[in-house]
Amino acid sequence: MTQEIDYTYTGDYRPPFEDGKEPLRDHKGREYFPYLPEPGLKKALNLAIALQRPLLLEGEPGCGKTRLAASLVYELTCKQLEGNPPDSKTNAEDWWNFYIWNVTSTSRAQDGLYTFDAVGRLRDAQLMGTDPVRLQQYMGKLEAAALKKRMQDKTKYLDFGPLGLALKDQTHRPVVLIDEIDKADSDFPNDLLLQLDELRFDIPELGEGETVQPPEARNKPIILITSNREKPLSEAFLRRCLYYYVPFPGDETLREIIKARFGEKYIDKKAVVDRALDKFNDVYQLLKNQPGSRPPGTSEVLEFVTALLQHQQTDDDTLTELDNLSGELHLLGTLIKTSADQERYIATYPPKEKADNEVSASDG
Amino acid sequence: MAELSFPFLDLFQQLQGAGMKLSPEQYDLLRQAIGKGFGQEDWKWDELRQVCRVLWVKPSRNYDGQTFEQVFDQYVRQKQEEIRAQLTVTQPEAKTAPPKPAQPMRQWPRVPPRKKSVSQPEATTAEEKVPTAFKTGVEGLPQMDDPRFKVTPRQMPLPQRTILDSWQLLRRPLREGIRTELDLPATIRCISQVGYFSDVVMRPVKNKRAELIVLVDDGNVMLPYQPALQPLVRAIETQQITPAKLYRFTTYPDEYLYDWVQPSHAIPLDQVLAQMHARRTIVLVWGDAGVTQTNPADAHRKGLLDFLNRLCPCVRSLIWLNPLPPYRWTGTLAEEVAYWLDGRMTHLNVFQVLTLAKKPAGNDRIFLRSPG
Repeated sequence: MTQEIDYTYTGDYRPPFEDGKEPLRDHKGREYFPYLPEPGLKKALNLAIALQRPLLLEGEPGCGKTRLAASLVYELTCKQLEGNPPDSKTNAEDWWNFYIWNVTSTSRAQDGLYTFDAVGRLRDAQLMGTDPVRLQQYMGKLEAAALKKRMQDKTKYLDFGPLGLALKDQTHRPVVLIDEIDKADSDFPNDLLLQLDELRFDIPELGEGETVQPPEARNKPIILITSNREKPLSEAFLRRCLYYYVPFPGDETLREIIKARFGEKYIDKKAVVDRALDKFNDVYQLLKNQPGSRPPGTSEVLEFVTALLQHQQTDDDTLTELDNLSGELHLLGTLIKTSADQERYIATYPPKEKADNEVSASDG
Repeated sequence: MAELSFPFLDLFQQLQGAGMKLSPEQYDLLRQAIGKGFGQEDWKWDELRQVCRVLWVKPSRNYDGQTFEQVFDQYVRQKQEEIRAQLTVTQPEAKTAPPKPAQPMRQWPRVPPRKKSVSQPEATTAEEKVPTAFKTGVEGLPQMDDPRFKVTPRQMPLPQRTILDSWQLLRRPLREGIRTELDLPATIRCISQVGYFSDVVMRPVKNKRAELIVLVDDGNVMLPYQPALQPLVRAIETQQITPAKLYRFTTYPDEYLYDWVQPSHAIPLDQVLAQMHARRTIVLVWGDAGVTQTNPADAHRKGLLDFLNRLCPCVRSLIWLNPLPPYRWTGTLAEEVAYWLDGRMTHLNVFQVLTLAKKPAGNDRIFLRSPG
């Protein structure tokens, strides 16, 4: 476990995936899908790894910002296991250290480092003060002994958060994902500045001078931050990050992604996938420059293709359905999520009459 | 090429000169990156462009992507010319690569058509384009010496101090959210009422979170009053009031509001309303509320009422600043709007504005008085 790891992210290591089966999961149940990074994203990530700076990723929802971190973890795990891909039975210690901090509207910067259960400690202290005989009757012998032990060690009340864990006792550079940072209060990114800069923090609850020291270059965390741009981030915060806007994948990349996701099925149903991508392209072009509309992202395309391929019907029927997408609201709904945008699509591509349908079916 | 110890320092300085607020530390990042072999694959400009973009462009006005692209393109052209000049001196037959075609400009979103100010007839000649409020003493119009009909922007300043004071008053802390704080007085009251301790009373924590949204009518009628708005705009631009956002509209906001900096950029009203917070958002509307219309068009009245009905549930406080004095509202649409708003419309008067700002925000949503 002490060999030097090459941290350069290539994107060439991909977990196996078969349509209809469960994706690969690690010991914590986190999912790993095949991921196809575009060259710009790869370079930005490698730059962030080399310069030891956090990488801030923005982009349209569903374009794969969050999945990048898992892809990096998978690659580093493969490298650590010397090319043997991990599977669901791989031990916890063989997986690369990966910490996810899902930010919510009530998240505080402190939560990512640690929480100290002061109330729990107070309760324990009160229990210790009661009559020992009654305490044992009340709690049982084992529980009372555990309580005594707990009281002697303050760290038992300390719970480290994702960033705190990543800064503590690491042998390699762990991966930290701070997901959707824009969800939190606008002060949140500013509160993180010191930790991101110096990568150390104090724990005053444990007494004077209790500090988690900054890691060295060999075990500095690789920090990825995603944002949906719901709130602007402060300049002081932006200055400390490298920034990359993840663009929507082009037609070629989209095909590659679908191929990786559906494998054999893609080759059998190429006609359906081709037509689906055409339809998707129509929708994308229609909504791209519409103020207030959001064009579908990669995840919506994958849902759309899944919905088409999982149908137990002939390709001809599926193609007919696709040709009359405006009339098939259940399919359209996987691509366009608001009724205003759906109406816009239907107005531009009015549904065909039944008679029309039959003609196109016989053609196809 | 640039000096070896300070690669591309001239590019960095050009970007700084173009308004990007880059720090020396950020230049050092580029040096480090180049030292580690980034940005030099095949010696292509685009490789360097990608690296610089990742390092220096951010979603902020001071690290703007468009400025970066323009300066970078210019830098590349300049360097290519220098190289070409050197080559022609040394080897006149060497061919240089054709200059890179100019990057296509960013595609702008389609802009929904803005409605015209309904309070003014179509202007055809230059003279007719003069805003109504300035039409005093023009030949053919009755001379008006009555001071009640003369309004000049200088007579109605809201000093910046008042603006900042009222912001402090408006954003005072409110209790909101989950009840997580022990309400000691209420608990004691409860004990004394029941006679024994039954349960603790909790209350939400006080939070000082407020945001200001200013909707500015930039129709022709409002043009003369623009100077009176300046203290507020300045306070927002210099971030003395923050977080705050400015939007434009004409006559009344319908489906779209317009960006303050780029008036051609439309933002759906739904989107702005959806981002408001009923306990935090304070909205200030700057407009005449149809004060020039003694016989208002139904569409105008309905549009205003619809807008206010949609806005009220989304905000904590609402203040309508009307630059014209109240005696001018009588008999116009503005009088009706003032009635619906139930005292929330005010003239630019220091005392009145501060009184409105002091008004405590209730726990209920704001209700409009039903039109009479």
